[in-house]
Amino acid sequence: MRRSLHTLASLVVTAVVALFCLLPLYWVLVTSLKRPGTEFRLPLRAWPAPVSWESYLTVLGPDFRIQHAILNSLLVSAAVTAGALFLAGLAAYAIARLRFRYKVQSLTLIQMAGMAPAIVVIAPTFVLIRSLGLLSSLPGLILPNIAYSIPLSTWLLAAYFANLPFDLEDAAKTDGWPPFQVFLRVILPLAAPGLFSAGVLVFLGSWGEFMLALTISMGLPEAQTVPVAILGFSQAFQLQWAWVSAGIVLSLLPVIVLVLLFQKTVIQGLTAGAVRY
Amino acid sequence: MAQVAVQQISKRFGSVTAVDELTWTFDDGGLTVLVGPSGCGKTTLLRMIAGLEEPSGGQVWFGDLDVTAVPPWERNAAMVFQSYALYPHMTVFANMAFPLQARKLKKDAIRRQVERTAQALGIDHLLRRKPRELSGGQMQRVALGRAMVRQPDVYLMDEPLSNLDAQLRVEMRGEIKRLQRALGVTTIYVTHDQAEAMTMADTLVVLRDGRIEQAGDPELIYRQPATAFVAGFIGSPMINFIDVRLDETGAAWMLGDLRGALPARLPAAAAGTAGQPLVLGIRPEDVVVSLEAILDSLPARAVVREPLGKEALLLLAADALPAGSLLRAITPPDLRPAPDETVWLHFPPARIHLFDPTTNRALQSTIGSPR
Repeated sequence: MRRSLHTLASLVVTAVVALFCLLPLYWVLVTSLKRPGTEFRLPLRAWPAPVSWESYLTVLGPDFRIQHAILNSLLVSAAVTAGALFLAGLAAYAIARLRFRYKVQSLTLIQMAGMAPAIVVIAPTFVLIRSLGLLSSLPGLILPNIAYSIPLSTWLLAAYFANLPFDLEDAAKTDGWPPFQVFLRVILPLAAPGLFSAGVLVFLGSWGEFMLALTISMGLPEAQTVPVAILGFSQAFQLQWAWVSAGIVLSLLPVIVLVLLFQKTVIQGLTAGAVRY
Repeated sequence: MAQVAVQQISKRFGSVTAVDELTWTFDDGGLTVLVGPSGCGKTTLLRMIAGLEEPSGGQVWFGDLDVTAVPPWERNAAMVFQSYALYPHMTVFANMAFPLQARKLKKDAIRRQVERTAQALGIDHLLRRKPRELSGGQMQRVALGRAMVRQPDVYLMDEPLSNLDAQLRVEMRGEIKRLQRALGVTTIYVTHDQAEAMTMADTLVVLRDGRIEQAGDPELIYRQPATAFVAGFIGSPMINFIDVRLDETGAAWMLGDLRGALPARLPAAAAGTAGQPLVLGIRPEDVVVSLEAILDSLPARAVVREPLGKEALLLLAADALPAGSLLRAITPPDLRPAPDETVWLHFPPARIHLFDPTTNRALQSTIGSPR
């Protein structure tokens, strides 16, 4: 009796939280399926009738070509995730596992770099990217995003690495593997769940990043990511919420697919006994 | 194979000296056991030989090669860890193949080698499993296999049996010793378990505070401990220590009314001056216990009798001893004093050890006690 009450309570709480998160998404989905111009027609219905795909055809059509922005976003986020995890992984490994002076201070310093609000560093970043000749290009977006992602992922990974048993590294060294190989062959596979959680955060952070993307793209569609492209919907013509919603739904799809995919591999990694200590 | 040696090797962690200018040459092809209480520096010494710890001073030699500055992955030393340190994300096969891959062996050579080693250890049916699907004893064998799959200059074993249950531990002791004999590779084995050390060692090295307290044949160390520390550490149940004095002639020790002869081989002058305090050590199995009064004996009360099957351990109190201190004696199973019954203890002169209480060193060894 008490047990079932407990189950019921946790179910209610979970449902409330899930509703709170999903309701806006649901509203976006519904709006995207309405005919443009009918978004606010009363009475509001739980599901639009008739369902209209007009907005999707528009944002995918020659005027907007949101698929191009989605591809850009995918490229940028993937490159940022790979770059940030690699660099943060090395830094975190050094901080968590090696002995050197000013270790704690170096972690603090990295953290401090992450504390500056984006608006503070946006101007210097712009100047830097301009002098590198990378304005309106994807690399110009990737490089600073990697830099922005490093503090958080270093911190996450360092915590994760610190919990891996030292004996494993020593064993790999006496087995004849030099440190970088030990990192690749022993530490990284064991840290897969940690890498995944850091990777998801970095990927989503850079997927939704707006201010830097807007600044660096300079309004050229070649370097526009999804958030910037969607902003364009409201500037080119009048603001059409159905278009914006359709763009949001389309931009969510690859993220959802990716998360589901990676979740599976990570669960496999877990059941393979990667972290049983 | 190579003769492994350390020369004046030291390791300091901040203000703590873990290993203190230690010099030792390990038997080529033999099994040397480093034993000592925790914090004596035995594991640090082993890790310096592996290259995992950088010495603060001194050198490590593999044969005539000074490997002090050689990183662990370029030394040819195979190490077995207390935690086994199996790679959890790899199968047993991959674990054992890992050191061979580092040596860039061909795939089929690796397969042959791993399978042969696995067979020798009786783990060939486990090769496809992951470490977490193994029992403790199986993990232990895989850890040994990963070390034995290659031909190293030296095996380094850091308390490899301490995570096993008692029965399996005894079994693995014999197995490791057998394998070590068969392979003939120099082996350095660290343990804090003195029974394990005694049974396994070709050469026993007793460490204390980062220095060698005594080293040599384990049975010789047992019979002739050089210091009170070694006498107390090696042997179970532990040796009895009794505070005594040298009598006025300088030729006998005194405990209350009891006088005992010095060991025959100890010249009277070696003991020191009359009245000097000494520490007498006698192992529990050397104490002669009698239910009737005998010559040169100490009256005592049986406090506790612990039957061990083939013998019994008696805990004894005596008026001549400080209150609360108990003597241990191993007795035949048919000697059964009633609780608090008076018994008489005799310490055969040939079997006693005398230590200087200031230096804790043995006055002179009681050589030649026949066993």
